[in-house]
Amino acid sequence: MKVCIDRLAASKFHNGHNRDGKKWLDWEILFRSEKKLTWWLDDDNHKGTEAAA
Amino acid sequence: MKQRAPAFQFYPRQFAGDDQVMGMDLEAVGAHILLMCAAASSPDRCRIDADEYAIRMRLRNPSDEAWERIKKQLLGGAWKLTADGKWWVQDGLQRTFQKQKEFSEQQSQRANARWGNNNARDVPNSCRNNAGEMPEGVPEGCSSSSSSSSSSKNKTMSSKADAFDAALEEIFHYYLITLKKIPACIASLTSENGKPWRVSKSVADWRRNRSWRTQSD
Repeated sequence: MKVCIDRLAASKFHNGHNRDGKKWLDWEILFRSEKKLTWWLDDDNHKGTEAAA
Repeated sequence: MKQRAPAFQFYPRQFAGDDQVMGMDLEAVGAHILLMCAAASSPDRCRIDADEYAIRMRLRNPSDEAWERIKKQLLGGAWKLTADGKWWVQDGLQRTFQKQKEFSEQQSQRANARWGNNNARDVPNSCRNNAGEMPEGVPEGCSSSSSSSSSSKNKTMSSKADAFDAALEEIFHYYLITLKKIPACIASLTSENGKPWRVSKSVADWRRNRSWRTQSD
């Protein structure tokens, strides 16, 4: 779960670099469902983000 | 106070096929059923007072001629007058009531033997209601359906829940510090009431607090 938090912290999209300029950092963004948790844990979804971070 | 059951067992095939009932006319069958209802409602569950006036009143006061005919059929076998002449007793009801009583006692003895408790009696009506809501902070595994679980099992579940509690609390702190940029000292305040299953509530509380929002955003 800490990995998920780190990845959310590293995600530019969720930290305001999006069309609306909003931050999406709520707890539910990370853990609202098992599917979401799995998404955050999947390395394939965060390769670019981690490299950037 | 123990209350009488509001119903009694009625075996329709046995009743319809009973020799005594087969030999009755329709009025006598009706009288028989009415008197069985009266007997089942009585404290002894199987007998009625032999006072003929009271019996006739229960049967809508038939004429003397009709009453004599009905009485003859009823006392022909379905009902028996006790030796002291005080009661009309219905054998079928008596047998059924006795069976139920024996079964109840047998089950009570089994319960006592199993649970080592000598007070296995009927549950009082005041206890016949739904279980209340579980208090907040109780893990799902500790539902009321686990009433038969042993205390050691409960302890294990409790320790697991505590471990889960601590782990999730730590992660929540990490989340607050990492993503919400809340100082660790304030993050620890959010979990003061904290149980892991209340993290969502903590987040909601935290959101409502404008000063914290300002700090994080």
